[in-house]
Amino acid sequence: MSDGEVQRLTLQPEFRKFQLAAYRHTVADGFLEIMLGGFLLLFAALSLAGPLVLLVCILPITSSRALRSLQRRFVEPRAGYIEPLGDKPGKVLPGIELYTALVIGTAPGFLMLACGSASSPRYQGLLDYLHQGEPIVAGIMIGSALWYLARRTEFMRFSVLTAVAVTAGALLTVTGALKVGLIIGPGQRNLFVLLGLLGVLVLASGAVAALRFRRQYPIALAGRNHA
Amino acid sequence: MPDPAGPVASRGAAADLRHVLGKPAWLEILMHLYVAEKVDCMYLLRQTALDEASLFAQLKELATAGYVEIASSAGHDRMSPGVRLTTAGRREMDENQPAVADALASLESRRSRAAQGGAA
Repeated sequence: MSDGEVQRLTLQPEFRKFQLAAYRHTVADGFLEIMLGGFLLLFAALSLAGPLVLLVCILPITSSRALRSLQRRFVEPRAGYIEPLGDKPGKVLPGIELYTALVIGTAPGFLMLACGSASSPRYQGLLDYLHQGEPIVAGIMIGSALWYLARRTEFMRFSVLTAVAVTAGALLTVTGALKVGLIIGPGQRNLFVLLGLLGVLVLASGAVAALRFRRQYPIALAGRNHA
Repeated sequence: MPDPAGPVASRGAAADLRHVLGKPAWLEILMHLYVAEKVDCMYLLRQTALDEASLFAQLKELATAGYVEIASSAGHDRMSPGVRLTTAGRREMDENQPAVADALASLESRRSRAAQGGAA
């Protein structure tokens, strides 16, 4: 980073209002959450299908482009476009997809390589531990991304989702390890419950944001060329 | 399109800054551009509450003064023309952040006093 960029990012407190408006604009439409919620639900469904979960690894490649395309089509005609200086909240989507898919999706494969065979008792034992620990790992990863959005935009909904992600991840790991409640079950059921829960909540949060955005920015100005 | 290193770079920085700080609309537009790499006119229209004619008049004045660059037309992937600070305009904002902050605080204070007066 050049000296100029460092200076630019160290802003006076009075400038915060404008920076906040820029960050908020990039997530105000709710599309990022709708796509993230959809990803988590898809991941939840695929997590029950064994190796098929690796299919989600292709999403980070396409989702960023899909999000931009949606925003170009539905957001820019209503509220315009801004690319904030420095941080890019919109990059959270491919980032979270990539880390979640790589860490959760490929961990059993690496474990199998380390143990030599999928049928070895050592692999099965370690796999059980891995599955028990997955909810808290996924909860912290998803929660970190949501916390980043909460800090940048100061939208309360991201703080609430962060708390839910980390708390639910911890609870599901503990209940899975103690084998109590409804969470008892083989394989990745705990992870399925966490991703399903977060997917529904994030999707609902995005849908509410999208409806509010449509109401706040009616289509009246859409399609007008200001050139 | 104005030369990015044109009028702002050639005139005295203090004089330029006083000129900017004296116009609330200029200050607000420049602040939205300062925290961004790229912005389009629709965003400025929505954020500044200026009407379309007034926004474009202000942008033209700022472009003539060498602070902003306006794309000649909407790009192939944009609904409205893009606007950004020129290199010289950004440098001047960088170098005078405290003075700009004071002007913003003063503007906010005037607006809140006006709002309170209106409410009373």
